[in-house]
Amino acid sequence: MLDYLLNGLALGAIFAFIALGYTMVYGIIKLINFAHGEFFMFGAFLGFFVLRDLGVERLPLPQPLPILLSYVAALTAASLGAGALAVVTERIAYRPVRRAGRIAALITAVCVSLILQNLAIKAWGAKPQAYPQPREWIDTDDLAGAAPANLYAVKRVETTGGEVVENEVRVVEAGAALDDATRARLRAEGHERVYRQVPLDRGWTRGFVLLALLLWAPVLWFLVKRTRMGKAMRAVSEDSDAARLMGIDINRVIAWTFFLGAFVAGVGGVAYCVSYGKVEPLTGFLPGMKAFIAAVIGGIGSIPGAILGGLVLGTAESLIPYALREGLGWEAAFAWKDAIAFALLILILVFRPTGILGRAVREKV
Amino acid sequence: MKLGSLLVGLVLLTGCGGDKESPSAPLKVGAIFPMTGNTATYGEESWNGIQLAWDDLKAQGIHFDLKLKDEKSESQTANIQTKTLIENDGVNVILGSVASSNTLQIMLAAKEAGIPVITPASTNDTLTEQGGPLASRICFNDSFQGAVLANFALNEGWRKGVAVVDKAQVYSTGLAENIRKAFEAGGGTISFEYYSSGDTDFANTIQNVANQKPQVIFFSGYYPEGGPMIRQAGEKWKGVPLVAGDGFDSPELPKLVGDTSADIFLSSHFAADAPDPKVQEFAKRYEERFGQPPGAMAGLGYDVLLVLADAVKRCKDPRDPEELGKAIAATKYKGITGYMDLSTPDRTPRKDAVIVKVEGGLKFYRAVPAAK
Repeated sequence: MLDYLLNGLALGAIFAFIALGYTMVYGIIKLINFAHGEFFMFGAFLGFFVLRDLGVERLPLPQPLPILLSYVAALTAASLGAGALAVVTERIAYRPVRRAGRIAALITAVCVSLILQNLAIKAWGAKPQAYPQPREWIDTDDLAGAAPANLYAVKRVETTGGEVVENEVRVVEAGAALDDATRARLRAEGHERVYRQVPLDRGWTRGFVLLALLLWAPVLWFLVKRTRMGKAMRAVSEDSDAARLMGIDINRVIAWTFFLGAFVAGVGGVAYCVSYGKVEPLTGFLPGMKAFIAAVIGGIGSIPGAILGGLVLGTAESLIPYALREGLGWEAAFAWKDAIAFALLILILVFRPTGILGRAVREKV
Repeated sequence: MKLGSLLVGLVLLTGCGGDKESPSAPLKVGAIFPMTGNTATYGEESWNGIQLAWDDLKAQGIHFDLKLKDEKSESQTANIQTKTLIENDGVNVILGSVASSNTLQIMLAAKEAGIPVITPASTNDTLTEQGGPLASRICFNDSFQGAVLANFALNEGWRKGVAVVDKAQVYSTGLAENIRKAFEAGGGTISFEYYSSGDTDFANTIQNVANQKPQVIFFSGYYPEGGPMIRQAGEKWKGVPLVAGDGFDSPELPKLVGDTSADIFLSSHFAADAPDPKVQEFAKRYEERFGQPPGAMAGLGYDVLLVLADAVKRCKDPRDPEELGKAIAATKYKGITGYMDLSTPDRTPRKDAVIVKVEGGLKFYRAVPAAK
């Protein structure tokens, strides 16, 4: 039971992360930004490239600093990159239709989502790729004693077509003796350095997501409630025309909102892919959908609501099937968790159309 | 009205063109594989294998007009691409695909049009039956594969199993049923845990499996979910061996699994480092050309075009679908993935399987002889 609760909370925290962006954008311009899941995916890919290619983990510092730094670099790149993409998207796609009504904006959002997905497929290929495990690099010359873990190296092969393919190969089995013969063999194969993979503990990645959520939520709340920019956001949200008359630069405020939402989604994207082990252009689709549901369940437009909604949804996805299985003996209950999540959305909408923390807004006639 | 008659005229014209096509023109062969999407490595490998076979045939003066279509790892797309190949490209035969759910769509669409289909790699038992007399395959089916997996586990002394099953794939549910039958017949006990292809969070599935304290975990599904599931399981499944079907045979699998101490075995059609010199020669050529050792799909892709070429040789008019279908069904051919005799009632060869172990790559473990 406790395990299932924790599983649910961990998943819910990710939903909450993405839901924050949905809710902030909706709170200000009443736009359901369906492309938000793609900002998440974009962040995940940026993190992927930083972890795989930038080589921060090769820095000559004592372990585990290089690995830690490689994650900091990945998270920074992902959050800033996703934020930048959101600002650009807003400028190109959403600003021109801002005054064209909500349906036009909604359709634009769906289109942007599909366009970004397809661009990602074009750029990075449609197949799922393994998210890089952190690596600890060791100079071949420093190898001694017995191998503490399986050792790997990158083997470059030039094909007859002139293409260079990089393959990861296991060069030494765990426990094998690292003597002169092994070192000579590795050097003969052209491996100046080899690496071991450092599997991340699930507890760590989950702890990171929950911690980041705990740290971020108050920061966001502070930004919105206590800063000038936040005041401007709330003003735009209440009445954008009046806000403009008061001298608020609406475009800047909205761009900031998009940036903040996507910034958080970028962090979520890396955390999601690190915990689940792969990345692909459709990575953002289902979590994006779920996060949208989470935002609606919590009361779209409300920051605490997004977090609550995410945690409720994640926990429900985990505990309801658990109850159905243990209580009613329905063995396949877990295979239906998505259906259960969507049913929950409908139920909440029927009984509480504004979500758990949402306020009913009276239409002024 | 004018436009209408013009169109009819065009259709007639192209129709005539088709009829008059000289018999020496190369046979039009459609290939449908998942070149993108979840299981894209299957498509890449199959197509690479077909290209190698195509080169070999060309060197012997045999030409095929190959047309590749991407089914995007989706069964609806497989159906549409089949119709496109038959109606627009006028192909005489179709090769494809890998996932059984998608191949089923190809076979059903081709059955309607009366075009022969050979699948290199789809193992679901009922495929060739549903696909009709013109549908055949060059790989073993899942009742054999299920028994191979179950017996492998029983021989190792593992009697209590949990099978992890993808409920959205016919391959997966069919294979799981076959594993259960054979495993229970051999005195084992087994239960099922379900997930859906496309899932990414397996925490609860992993927990459910771990709670039952199995001696062996069977995995009946595909690598894009299986690999991350094993990586996520980490300590929770520590010490429990995993036995999977050929849905795990992808060069991407070891990367998705990551560095693990788990013992992972899978049954497959072919292993690049098997002792057979013919296989080794193929593996060497494949690696030189594509930069990666070939997986089972590459071997089957290579064989499927050679099987077709062999059948075409035995036809007077390979453009007659009935005759070509009969010739394919009479195939007796020794390829790199084993001896293929398709003259069985279900046009499915009784082939050898191999057990492959995942050790930083896919490594040959042992061969399992074909069923009688």
